Amino acid sequence: MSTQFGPASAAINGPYIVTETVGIITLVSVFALPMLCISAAVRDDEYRIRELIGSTPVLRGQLLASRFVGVLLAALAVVGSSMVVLAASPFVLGIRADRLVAFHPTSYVSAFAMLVVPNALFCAALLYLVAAASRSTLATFVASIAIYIGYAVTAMMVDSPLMAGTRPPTPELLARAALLDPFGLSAFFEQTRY
Amino acid sequence: MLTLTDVAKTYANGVQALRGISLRIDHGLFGLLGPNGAGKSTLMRTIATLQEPNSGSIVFGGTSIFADPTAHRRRLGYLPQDFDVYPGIAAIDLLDHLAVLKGLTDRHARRAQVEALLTKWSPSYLLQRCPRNSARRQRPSTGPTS
Repeated sequence: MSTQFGPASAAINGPYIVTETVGIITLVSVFALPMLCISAAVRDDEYRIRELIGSTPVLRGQLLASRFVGVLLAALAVVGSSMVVLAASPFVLGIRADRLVAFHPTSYVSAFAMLVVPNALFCAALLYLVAAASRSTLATFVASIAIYIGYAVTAMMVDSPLMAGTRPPTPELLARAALLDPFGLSAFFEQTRY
Repeated sequence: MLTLTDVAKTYANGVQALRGISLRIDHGLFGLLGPNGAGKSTLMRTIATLQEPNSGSIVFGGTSIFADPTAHRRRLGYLPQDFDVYPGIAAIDLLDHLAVLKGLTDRHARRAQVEALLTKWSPSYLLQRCPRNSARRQRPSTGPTS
């Protein structure tokens, strides 16, 4: 079995491809996050229970913060579960032995710490802010698309391996894209370019 | 003793819902009657500290309810006229959640109180503890209103 990610010389369960794959998983998660944020921030209005909740002693800030923590933990649990599958897959799927290295948990832990946690925190915070402020399902989904567009633009700037046909970037564009990319993938490609 | 003095409320769209409401309500039952649009719900929402009046004062137990809304809400039991519930949640779980928000942090005491209330109101709701019970999604069709 072959993989579409990373250079052919890189091990499928090595740090480079693991980090890249985890980055792509977080990229996809931006389309699932709105559902969590909407459920947490808009459901009181949707089910007309806002007045019941609002008449309890819990301050609105406390309520919003506690629900945001719930959204964040749920998002981390979902991506974390997919990483467990990712870690197990080389041992289950028929992958050529020369594309594998010995299992190192640090590859997955560092990818989780460096990409998943910051990405989940950033995207969840932004989408939750939009959901809580607008109380609009549509606005929250539009915000998630805007985040994705932000990634796509910076990925083109950095000549991401995930974006075919982009022009060779200048060092200035690379540095700017690495800072602007909301998912950190551009920074990853910029740092591992050579 | 709940005392309202010259309470007025005008919404942002210009609708004046309350004007010069003054009341003294002692212990016991108090009925608020009026036609649609009379401002009953606005008054209840204001007393529940869900919104502030434009003018006037509301004093409960010698203290303005807006001086410390959180303390007022701890003593408040409020059921809106029109409300729904989260889908797919049992009545006992919803009440338990509301009790947590209300400040009942002792799990066993809270559960006992919720079960006692449900038993008193409708014993059949206790059956909804079974997660696969088809009646789980049933919700109360009637209840006390504001």
